[in-house]
Amino acid sequence: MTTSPAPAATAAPGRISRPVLYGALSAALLGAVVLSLAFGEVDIAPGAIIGIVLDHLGIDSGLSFTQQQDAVLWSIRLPRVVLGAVVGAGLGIAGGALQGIFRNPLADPQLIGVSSGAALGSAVAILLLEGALGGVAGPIGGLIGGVIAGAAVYVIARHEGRTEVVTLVLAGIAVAAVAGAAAGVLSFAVRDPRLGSPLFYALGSLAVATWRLVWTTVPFVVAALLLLPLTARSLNLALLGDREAQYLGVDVERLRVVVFGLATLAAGATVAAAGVIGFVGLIAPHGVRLVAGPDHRVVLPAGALLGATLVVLADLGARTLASPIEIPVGLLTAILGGPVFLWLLARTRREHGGWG
Amino acid sequence: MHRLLALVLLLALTAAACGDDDAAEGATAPTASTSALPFTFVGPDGVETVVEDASRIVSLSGEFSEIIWDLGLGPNLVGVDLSSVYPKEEMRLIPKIGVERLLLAEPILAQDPTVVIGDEDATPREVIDQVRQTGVPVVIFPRFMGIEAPATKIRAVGDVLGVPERAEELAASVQAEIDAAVARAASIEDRPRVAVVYVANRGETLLLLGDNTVMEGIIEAAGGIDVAPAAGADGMMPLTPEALAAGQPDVIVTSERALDAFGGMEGFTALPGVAQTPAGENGRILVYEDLYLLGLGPRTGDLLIELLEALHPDAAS
Repeated sequence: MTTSPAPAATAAPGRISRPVLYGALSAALLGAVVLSLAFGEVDIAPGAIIGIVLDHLGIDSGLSFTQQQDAVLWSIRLPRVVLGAVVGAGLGIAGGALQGIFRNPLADPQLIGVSSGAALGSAVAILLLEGALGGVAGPIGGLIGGVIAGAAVYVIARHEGRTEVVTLVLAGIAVAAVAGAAAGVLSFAVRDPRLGSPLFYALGSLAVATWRLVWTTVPFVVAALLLLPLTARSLNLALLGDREAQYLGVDVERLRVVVFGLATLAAGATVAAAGVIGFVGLIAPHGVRLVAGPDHRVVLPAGALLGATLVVLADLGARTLASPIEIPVGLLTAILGGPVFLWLLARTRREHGGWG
Repeated sequence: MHRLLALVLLLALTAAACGDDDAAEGATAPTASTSALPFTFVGPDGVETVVEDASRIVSLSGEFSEIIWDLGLGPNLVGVDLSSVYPKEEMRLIPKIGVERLLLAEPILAQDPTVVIGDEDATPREVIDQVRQTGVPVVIFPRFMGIEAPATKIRAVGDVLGVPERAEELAASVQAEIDAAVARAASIEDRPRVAVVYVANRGETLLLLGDNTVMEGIIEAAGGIDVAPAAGADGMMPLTPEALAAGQPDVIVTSERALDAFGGMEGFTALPGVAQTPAGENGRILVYEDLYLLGLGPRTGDLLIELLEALHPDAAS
């Protein structure tokens, strides 16, 4: 394959070029991170923030800060911002890849049952294994639950060596319903305070972010970020249809297993760490598609950047708007992302006569 | 969608209500002496916490805020949770740090506390760990239940904050009030059946409070028969309308917040199940402020007397 059927790297009319896109998204993410570090109940001046960060990197900057500011920034605010970015990136890239591989614009980790499976897995692990594993029981159980749910959906949808896309989506909805109900029954029946608020998994939260949680989430998301873009070219071909892609040399079935597996791992890890932060996996990749076209070589990495920005910004709102009460971050991703997405949709219809 | 909207509105209102928090900050000059410090506390979680300084206290629950106030350490309270409503005017001036079951680390730390006090309802646990990580001692008590709980709690708080003698005095007087109420109830023969209910799912589900909740033993101590044990309620049990009707309570006791969630007295008595009980038919619904009814705080003796007289109108003197 020397030529790609996907849009060329130069900007098509009405679409922005890649350097502009990546530049804008990186600047937005950086801005969101800086804003998030700067705001909170404890006042920390910009100079103190820089001083604290440099201090932890082993550089004495001479900038003054208090012990309390150091503790708040380094062990509470920074892990929270980093986890938000990691979770957002994971959701963004997983959503984009799932939409591509299933040729279904509605596909996201929630639709294929991974989120509910992760929520159930976390609850079970916290109840049964917390004594043995400690605080990582929830994230590990969530990951396992998400993968089991994803695998179950995949196995159900597989028939005579092929995956039926419609069956897969329907099976995903059914598995999500069953796992979600089981998690509900469990929290209802056990009423163990360790399961915390049901809102945590239903609407997501980054309130309990710690460095340990960041490090248990990062490997899975980084794996997806590094490996999924390698499948972008094949995903582009798969958009043509299973048979057509097969003729062009793509092993569609194997591609599906790889993409589904990586996306499930990334999504499962994010849900285990932060609950179900809805809408990000859906709108981040679509947002990129609407401004830069459907080429997966752009949609996957740019979707990850946009997802990270969206979650970091939403979480900043979640913890500051109604302080000292936290708004579930999933509500804000929908409130922030929904209108922008609708505007993009309307603009696309106006300029390109519709999409899809 | 309605429910999301309602939640957002609720949060916005709460935020507006807490808007004037900053006023009280910086004006605190510790006045009460806490000479018996340092104190080493080992919690039900096995965590050892050393309290050296009680000059800036954050309380994570209304019952502890009330006890701390009664121990004369009110001026040292620099942050309280939203359930801290007694004494009303004074608590209103103290910065709010969040809600007991959905705590955040930063609002707590922003008050620069020297000690944080709560019980096992203070969650998520990760937030408690975050606060501890910054070096601030966090005392997490077990959940105290039963008729001895108020005195036990007062002594425990007094020890941790370095005022054991004052706590002993307060505990003894609170226990004496409770004992007097219990003694008075023991002489009453007529024992109405009582259900204590709370709310879940914002007014869609009735919860029956049974053993292993703060109401354990309270109804008996006020001269009633708690229908919860016979109904098999252990902890808070979600109640179907039929189960409530089957319990045939003569009186239903609930809290102000629960009543609000059910749409006031009108909405409450119209609930399926409530109307089919003798309590519903005769309008014998008793409503108390949440912290007063469910806090097991220093005013528990008053609550018992009030309950006793409401349950036995003839016994009121």
